Amino acid sequence: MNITNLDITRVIAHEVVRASQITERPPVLSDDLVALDVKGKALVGRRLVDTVASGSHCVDVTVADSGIGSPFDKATAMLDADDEGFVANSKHLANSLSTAQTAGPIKSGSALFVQGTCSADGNATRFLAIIKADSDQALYKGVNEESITLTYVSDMLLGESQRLIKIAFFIEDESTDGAQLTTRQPDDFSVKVFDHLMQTSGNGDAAAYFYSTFLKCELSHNAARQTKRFYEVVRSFIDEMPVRQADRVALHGDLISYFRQNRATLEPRAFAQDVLPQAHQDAFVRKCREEGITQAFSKEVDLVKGKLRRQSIRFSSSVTLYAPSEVFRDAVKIIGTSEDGWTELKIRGSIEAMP
Amino acid sequence: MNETELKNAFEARRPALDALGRWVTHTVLGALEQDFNSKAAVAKFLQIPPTPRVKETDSFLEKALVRKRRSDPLSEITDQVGVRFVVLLLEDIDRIGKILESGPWTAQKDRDFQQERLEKADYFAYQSDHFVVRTRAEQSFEGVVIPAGLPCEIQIRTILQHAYAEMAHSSSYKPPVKLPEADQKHINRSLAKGSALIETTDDVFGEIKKRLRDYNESVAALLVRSSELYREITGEPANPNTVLGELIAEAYRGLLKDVTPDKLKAWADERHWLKATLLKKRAESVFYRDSVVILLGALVTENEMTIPRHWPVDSEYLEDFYGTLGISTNGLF
Repeated sequence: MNITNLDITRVIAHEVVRASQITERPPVLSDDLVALDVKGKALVGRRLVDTVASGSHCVDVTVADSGIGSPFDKATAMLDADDEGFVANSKHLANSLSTAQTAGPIKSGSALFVQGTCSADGNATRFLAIIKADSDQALYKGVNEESITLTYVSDMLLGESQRLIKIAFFIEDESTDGAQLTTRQPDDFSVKVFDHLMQTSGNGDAAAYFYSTFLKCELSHNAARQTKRFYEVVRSFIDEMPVRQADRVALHGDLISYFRQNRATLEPRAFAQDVLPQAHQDAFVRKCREEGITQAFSKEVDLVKGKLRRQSIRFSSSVTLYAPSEVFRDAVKIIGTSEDGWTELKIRGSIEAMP
Repeated sequence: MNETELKNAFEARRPALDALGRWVTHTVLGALEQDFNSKAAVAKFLQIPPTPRVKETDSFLEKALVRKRRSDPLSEITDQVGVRFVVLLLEDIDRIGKILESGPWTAQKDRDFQQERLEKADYFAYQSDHFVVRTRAEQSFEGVVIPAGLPCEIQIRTILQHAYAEMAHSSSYKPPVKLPEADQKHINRSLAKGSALIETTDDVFGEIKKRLRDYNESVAALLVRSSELYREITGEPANPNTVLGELIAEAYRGLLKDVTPDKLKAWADERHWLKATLLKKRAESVFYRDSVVILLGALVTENEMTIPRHWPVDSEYLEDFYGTLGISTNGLF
C-alpha cells in the first residue's frame, strides 16, 4: 500500500513488560498524550512508512475477534474517542500486550499508540498504529564549546533497527461519516502487521504472539493463492528476461530454491535483491506492482509444491530433461547451443538405468 | 609591371597585408567569443589556433608570373594574406561562415565544398570553404594603414579535412619530385579513397553530435517541465537550472531516456496529495524547494531499487523523499 502525506495527530506511550513481570512491578502507564515536535513526528512517520508502505515486510492479517472489548474494537474506537477515551483504551491495550508477552525471546519495552491521517493509495484516510518498540542502547553525543561528551542511554526508541519494532496498523477503508458508531466492523479496515520474527519460519510462539495472542488476528487466508500468484509472476518475468537461455535456466533454479528456503514471508523487493541481477530488479518490482503485489505476504507453498519438487527443461525436439530441484543445479550444465540446432549439456554421473 | 616592380609593390604592402590578416582574425575571434560568451570555449572550438600568414614573396611572384599570367595580380590574387580556421565538425564551418558574411568588410565565398560535392558527385578530393574578404574603405589596425579593397583569404575546414589537405598538399600539389605516372595514379587513387573516408567520418561525427545534442535537449526539457509542474502545483517560483537538478540528471542519465515531459505530467496528476505535501515540506527543507523533486519523484516511482545506488548527495534527503512518496526504504539504504 502506498502511504503518503502522513500526519500524526495524537500519540501516547506506555511501558510494556513480560507477562511474568507484571505482578513484580506493574508497568508504568501514562495518563497524558505525548507532545511530539515536528522532527519527532517526522521520525515516527518515517518508521511507519518504512515498515508498512510499499516495499516493506509487513503482511495483511485478518481480524479473528472483533467483538466488544476485543483488541480490534478497542483500537478502532480510539479513532473517534475523546482524549480521555483514547488514553483509557491505550492503557487497556498496553496491559493486554504485557499479558501476551510470555514467549522466550520477548523483551519488555514501550507501546506507542499513534493516531493520524494519511493518503492510502491516494485516498485520504485515518489510521491507528500500535508500535511495540524495544529499547535500544546508544550513546548520546553532547557538544559544548571545547569538547564532545558521550553519555550512555539505555532507553532509546525507534532507532534504525527494524528488529526492535513491531507494528499493528489499522487503516480505515470505510469511514463512519460522522455517525457515532459504538463498534466498528473488520471490513471497514485494512489491518497490517510488521514483525521481523514473522519473516522466517520456525519462530513459533514468538512470531505469533503479537498478531495472534495480542491482536487476535490470523494470517491472511489466501496465502497459498498469493504464493502461487507470485510464483507465476516471477516465472513469467524470468521467461521474458533478455538473457541467455543458460542463465534463464539458472534463474529458474534460483527461483525454486528461494521458494524452498526456510522463510515465512515473500516480498518482491527482497526477492529481486536476493535472486535477480541488479539491472533487472526495478523492472521486476514494476511488474509486481502492475500485478498488485507491493508488500510482503505469508508464504504457503501448497499450490506450487509440485513445481518446486523438480526442475525441468524442454527442448524444441520435444526431449524433456528433469531432475529433483535440489540436484539440478549441480548436476546439469548447459554448454551452449550450436548453429546446427544441437544443445550441448553436461550431466554429472554415469548412466545407471533405463526405467 | 615587370618582375622587379611587382616584387617591390608586393613587399611595400606586406605590413598592410599583415595588419589585415590580424584584423580579420581578431574580428572573427571577437565575434566567436560573443557567441560562446567565453574565451575558453572559443579556444576549445578552434582545433588549431588561427595564425594569419602573408604569402612569401617568391610564392606570390611564381603564382603571378609563372602559373598563370594575370593583368593585375596585386588585385586578382586573393591569398596574399590568409588565415585558416580549423574546427571539429562540419556544422561548425557554417558558424564561422556566417560571421564572415556579416563582418565589417565585403565578403565573397570562393569555394563552397558542399556545392562542389554536388557538382562533382563522383569526385573525392580537397574540401574546404574559402572566403575572400576585402576592406570596404581605407582603415587602420594597430597603427598600420590598410588600403581599401585589400583581399584576405579565409579557409574554414574540419580537422579531418585539414589532415587530408596537409597530406594531399605534400603528395599531390607540390611533389618534391615528379613521380612515374603509374605511381602517381596509385597515389591519386589513395587520396580519393582518403577523401571519401574523411567525408564519411565527418558525417559520422555529425551524427554523434546530433545524438548528444538530442539527449541534452531532452534532459533540459524534462527539467523545464519539472519546474513548470512544480510552479503549477505549489504556486511558488521554480528554477529549472539548479545544481541539484544537474547532479540528479547526471547521476541518472541512463534512466532519463524512459521519461518524457508528458509522463512527468501524468505522474504529478495521479498524485492528489502532492500539493499539500510539497507545501508542507518546502517550508521545512531546501530540498523540497527545488523543482527537480517532480522529476526525481517520477524516477523513484519507476526505479526504487536503482536510485539509491547512484544517489549523488547526502542519502538522508533521499530516505526522507522515499517516505514522502510512501515507499519503504527497507533494505535499500
